[in-house]
Amino acid sequence: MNRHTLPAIALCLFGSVCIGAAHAETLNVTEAWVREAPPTSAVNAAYMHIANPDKKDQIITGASSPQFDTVEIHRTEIVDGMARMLPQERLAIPANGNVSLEPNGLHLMLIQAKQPLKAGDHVEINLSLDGGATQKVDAEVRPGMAEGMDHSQHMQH
Amino acid sequence: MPTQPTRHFGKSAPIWLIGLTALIAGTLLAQYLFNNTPAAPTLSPSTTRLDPARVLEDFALIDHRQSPFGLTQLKGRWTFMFFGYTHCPDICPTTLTTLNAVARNIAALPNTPPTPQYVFVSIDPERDTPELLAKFVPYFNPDFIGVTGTPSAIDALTKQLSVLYLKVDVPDSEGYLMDHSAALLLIDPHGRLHALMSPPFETTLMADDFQKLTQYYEATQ
Repeated sequence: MNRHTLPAIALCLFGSVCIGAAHAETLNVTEAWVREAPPTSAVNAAYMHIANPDKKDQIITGASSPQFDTVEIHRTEIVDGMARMLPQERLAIPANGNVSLEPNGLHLMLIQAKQPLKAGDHVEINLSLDGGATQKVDAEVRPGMAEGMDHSQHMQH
Repeated sequence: MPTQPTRHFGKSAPIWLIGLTALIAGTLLAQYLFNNTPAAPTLSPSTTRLDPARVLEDFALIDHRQSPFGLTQLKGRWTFMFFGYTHCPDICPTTLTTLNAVARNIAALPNTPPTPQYVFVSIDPERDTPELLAKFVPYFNPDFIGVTGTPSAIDALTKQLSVLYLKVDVPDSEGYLMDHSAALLLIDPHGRLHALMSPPFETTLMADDFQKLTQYYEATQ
């Protein structure tokens, strides 16, 4: 995902605004998205790619969103043909490594939207990092149809 | 031509027997090759064909339009069936979008296989009413059918299909989560469990497998 780190580096070459941001945002979060869900859905999921350019591991201890009552870190696991969701207390992003949150794997479970979301909307998600820092993520709501195609392509790997 | 060699070989009973056996075997082989069954289809590793298909008994569920849904609704057409629940943020919506892509792929196949129906069966009847399913399932595709019912009626179907599910209490997470079988089931027009498709799902291969299974089914009826 080097193509995503480049704009961040380029941005930080300009001025003091970025120096301030760099302190708060130690993770590079890209491709954050939420699947457009039926308006009545009680739950939804957010997916993203999280890279940690730092020399030490980063631990995400929780997440929240002003647009949802609760956000939880979950992992879907399929073992012996059974699918299950396992709540995760924390999510470690290894030093100089990355973690992908994607369908049928790690995801942020978004519980009880305060307003129905439709494709094109944005969801603000705040990741709580070990040590007290918070990192803001902007996730775009994408239509399910397009995701279905992305997903099938992804599964060919 | 055939009569002369017969006289020569007539003295030797074993050779005569070999000839007769070969003739019968050849006839049977020709019948097998030209009249009867084509070779069983070669499918992707994710798809398993049941041979023989598993006969199902009737069950009494209700669809999202409040109409009865039982064995009768499975007969006369192919059915893709998936088990899940609406309070499922990740795998259930993902599978429904996958099924939507499969439906598109099947419709685009050159040999126009039969159009299947797509049925989402809730394993969480406590929360999944027909009304809730009506707002959830057709959202992914207006032709998709959501089905629910009493716990015992759902069990009457899941047990026949070897589908497992389990309620897991979690402090938050909307009260509880459901573990459930992740496979997609394919029911044939006789209402028999015909094949299973297991994740990871690849929508192009699934459509191809569906085509092969339906062609083989039609050729062997």
